[in-house]
Amino acid sequence: MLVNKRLLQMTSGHRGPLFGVTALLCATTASYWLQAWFLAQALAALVLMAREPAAHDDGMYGPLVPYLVGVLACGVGRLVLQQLHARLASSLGSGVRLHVRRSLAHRLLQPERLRDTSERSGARRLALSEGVDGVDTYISQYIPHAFQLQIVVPALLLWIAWLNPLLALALALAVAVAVGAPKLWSKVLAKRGQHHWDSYEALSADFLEALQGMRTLKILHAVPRTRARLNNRSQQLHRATVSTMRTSLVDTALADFGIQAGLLAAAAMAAIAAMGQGPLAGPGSAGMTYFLLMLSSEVFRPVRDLARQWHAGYLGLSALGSIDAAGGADDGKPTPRWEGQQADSGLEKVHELATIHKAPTSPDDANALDRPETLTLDRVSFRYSDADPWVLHQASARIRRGGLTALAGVSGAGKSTLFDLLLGFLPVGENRIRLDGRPLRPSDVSVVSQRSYLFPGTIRENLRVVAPAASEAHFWSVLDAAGLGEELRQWPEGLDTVLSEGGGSVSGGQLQRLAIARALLVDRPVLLLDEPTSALNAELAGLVLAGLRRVSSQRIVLMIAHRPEALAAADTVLRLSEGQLLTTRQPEAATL
Amino acid sequence: MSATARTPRNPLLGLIPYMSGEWAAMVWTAAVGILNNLALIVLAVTGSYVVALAVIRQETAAPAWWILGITAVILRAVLTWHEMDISHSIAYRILAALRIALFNGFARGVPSRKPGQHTGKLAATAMGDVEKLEFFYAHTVAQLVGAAVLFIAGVAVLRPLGPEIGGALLLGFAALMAVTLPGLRRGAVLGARVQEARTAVSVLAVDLLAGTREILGFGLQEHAQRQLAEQSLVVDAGQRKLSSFLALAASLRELCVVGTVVAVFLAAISTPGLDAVWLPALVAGTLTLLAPISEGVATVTQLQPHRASAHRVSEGINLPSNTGRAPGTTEFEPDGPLGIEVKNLQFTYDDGEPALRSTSLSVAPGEHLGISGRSGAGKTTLARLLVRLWAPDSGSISLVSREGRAVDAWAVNEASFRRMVTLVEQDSPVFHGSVLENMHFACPAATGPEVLEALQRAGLPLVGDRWAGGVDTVIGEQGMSLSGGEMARFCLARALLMRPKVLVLDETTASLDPASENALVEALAGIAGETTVITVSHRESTLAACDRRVHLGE
Repeated sequence: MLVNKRLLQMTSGHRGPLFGVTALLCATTASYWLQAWFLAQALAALVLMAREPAAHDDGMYGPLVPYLVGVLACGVGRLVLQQLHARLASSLGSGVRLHVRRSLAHRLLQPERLRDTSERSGARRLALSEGVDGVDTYISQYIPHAFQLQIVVPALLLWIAWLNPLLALALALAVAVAVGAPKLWSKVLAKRGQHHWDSYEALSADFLEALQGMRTLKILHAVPRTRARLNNRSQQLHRATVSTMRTSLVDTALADFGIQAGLLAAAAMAAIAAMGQGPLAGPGSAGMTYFLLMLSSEVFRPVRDLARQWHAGYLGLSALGSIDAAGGADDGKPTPRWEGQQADSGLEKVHELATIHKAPTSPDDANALDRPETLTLDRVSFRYSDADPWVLHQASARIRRGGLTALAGVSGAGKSTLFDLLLGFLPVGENRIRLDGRPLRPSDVSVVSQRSYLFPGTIRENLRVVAPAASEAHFWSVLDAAGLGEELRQWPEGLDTVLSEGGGSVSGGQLQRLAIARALLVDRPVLLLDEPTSALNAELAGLVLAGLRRVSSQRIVLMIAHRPEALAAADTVLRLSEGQLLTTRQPEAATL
Repeated sequence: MSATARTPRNPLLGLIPYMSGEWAAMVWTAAVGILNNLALIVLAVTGSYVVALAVIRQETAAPAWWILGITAVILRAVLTWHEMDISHSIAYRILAALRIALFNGFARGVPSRKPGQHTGKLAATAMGDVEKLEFFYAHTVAQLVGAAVLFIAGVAVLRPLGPEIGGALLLGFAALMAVTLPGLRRGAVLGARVQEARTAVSVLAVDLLAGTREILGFGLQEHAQRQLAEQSLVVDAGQRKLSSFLALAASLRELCVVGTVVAVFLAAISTPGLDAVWLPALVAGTLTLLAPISEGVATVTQLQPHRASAHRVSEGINLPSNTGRAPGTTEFEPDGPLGIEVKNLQFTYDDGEPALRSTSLSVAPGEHLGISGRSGAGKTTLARLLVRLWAPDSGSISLVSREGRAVDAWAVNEASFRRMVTLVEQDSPVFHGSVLENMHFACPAATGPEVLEALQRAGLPLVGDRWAGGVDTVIGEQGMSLSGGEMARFCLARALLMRPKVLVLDETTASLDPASENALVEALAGIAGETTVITVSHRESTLAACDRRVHLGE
């Protein structure tokens, strides 16, 4: 009842460690009971000494020593238990984190996200990093503590009830106040927690965007305005945090009130019982009185422990919102991406998917062996929604290997949409796009997008990642084909030149040719290029187009082009206009 | 100012200055904390005394004891809430201030000229690291001071009872120190390792989000997942060590406390003349006195792992400027377009290879100059130097009014320089939000019609179903709903809206088809005379429209 259901669901598959952690927590708490017994016996011995001084002949400390040694032994035993607990809780957290992060990343790596204008990467970054960490803390700390409370407290109360029912009743009341009262405003708290995370997320998104666009902000003299905006957001976050926390802290204070009031009541009852005046006098010995009193205090230990976890609890709850916003961790229907490769949720399925996807670039890939002949578009229709106009309407074309094919059309005609259809980023009717008679698969296509993203790291790493098995010589051959080889050989670091984030450390033209080289390295039968020469001067464009022409004897090459030189170099031009594709052959294609 | 700011050896100490302004609140927190702990001591003493009286002497305590106990219970609950509330409010207020200080640092030093800076890392500092410091600001200074005051006062109060009890208490304190101090360093090291690995996760997350298209296109999902999992495991390995270290420290502290209880117990028995009825109360009271100290020591231990966060936050706040020169304060805003005089301009990145060899050129007010050059000749570098993004290594840039008055570009104050001289970069970003919100980045006062007119002039009229929302149409982050050509025209419109006196265009036409390129060239012809235009391009068709052309790097 103390645990959020959705977060509890995330522990499926980790139940063993979860129960282990809970059991260790219970054992740790039980060790305090034993310690309480030893301490009570020591106090009782003291009482005996006070009543009958000099009754013992083995010195002043004599009767106390065994009990005090017992107290210390409990402390040492607990040290061992707590070590075990820390380790097991960590490995539980680790398992949960891996699982949640993996399924979240899986959800974020979907083509739908590429077109969602409400997406903010700063918010998603937060979900993937701090959000997942928050869930981990909730599951590895908060949930076991909540379980512990639910197991240990009733058990202990039953025990006390057996010894002194009235005391147990008073304690049960105090526990009810401490644990139950906060339930009254748990809804308010959840809402405020959500509000808090929203502000946190908005701030995170604004921060990342400002960082990534800092140069432009400077040029526009928008830095002071952005600062004001972030400050505003930051103040909002401060208010949201403080208001959530204030409510949350009332819980802590109430728990404390229940504990102290309960303990005072217990002391009162113990005192009355000890004098034999109570309505339900407990066992009369001093040892039992002290033991009962200490057990009463132990009733509240799990309550206090849970209250200490409030930070973990509230982080987990708010992180849940962020993870849901990013697509949720485990439930929700995945969008099937393409035939024969249904994405599914759950870790096992992700692994399954991984094996389907495995090493599409390995040299023994069947695709690489046979040269493809024709890519066929058979009455392809597409629109973004029922309310939108058709981008493609019954468009058909045949694109052959041997020779360059250019895709032309005015700005906004849908050229990039057609590329996304070929890449499987957008759904297309069954069997509408075929490669040599069979449906085109995403792993058949290699692509250079208009705004290519190169990963931070060396050039070698960027190439290696798409073709782990390729040799150094292969790297140079594709760099030559992309018209960058000669230039790169003169750089002091060569392939080990480090690219900064987003490729900002090289020029636009160099970046474009690197992206082409990367696409060439992936040995796939279809090569798509979105304006491959836009950042290049005539000389370099010629070099690149000549390289592509050479490649076109091995693969089907289709490039979006509107520059005259690129159009002139094409053997075939597909013109996209009003949802239709018109094919023109250019027998006089400029051979560059 | 930042160059001279020295980071103290312990970065946590460097965080203390940010508390100035909150001192009064901190003193109040400490006072509330002391009172709160006193209430707890009263409760412990009362409870123990009442029971001992009943057990040993079969007597009921006086009503005053009960009233004292009940008051303490209520006081304790209220003070607990109040103390946590104020200490957290202070902490979060300081965190808000830290974030803005960080933004100022980032505004100075981002994007760095050196590779290796990553926005994922910086974002992790601004969000995660700052949030971690909550612990420092909410639980350290006031609490430690409160605990110390209480402890010293407690030892002083216990003195009349003889040296044994006070001695046992001091012994407990010494033991706490002995088990804590040797581990501090290890805590810091482990914490740094965990935070570093967390940052790496953040960096991967940003790459995964920014490179989604490539990851999907090349089928790198599994690779990305593996990298993420590997990095997660690095965090976990560090985390495991850290939490078992913290658990060990906690257990040892507890052992010390239990040991002290035993010692006080024994010391109390051997104190001559102490009434046995007071014995349990004395033990309980001493124990509660030791509790805040033990918690303070716990705080110091738990604080160590946050050293790394503190270090990165102060590093971010003190990020060195990447421009290399502070702008001047001269007021210079003459009417009409400005000419530019560039003399022997030179620029080298940190790796030693000159990016721009000595360059001189002169542009007349209102002129339209074309700059061409081979790939890597320094065209973009020149464009950035012209708009003062970086300071040149040597040489000078002057702005010249129509009347012939020349002023060094770096002497002009920032606001008027930015109003007069602007640049449209090759891939200027478009921000999250609507068309109008984006335009407000450049011109906060721009109205809808003005924006539409600027877009029209840049060759991107908002017509058709896609733009049904007009200037309120939402464009995604990084302009995801725009094609490359549309982005270029959008950014040009944003610059035109500012009505600059000098407009520098860096490869703005690269991704345009001939029709759009013509529209853009015509738009530039339209502002001829009122704006000086410098077009950096490799396109013959774009350069053909310029009044004059310069080839860079020959």
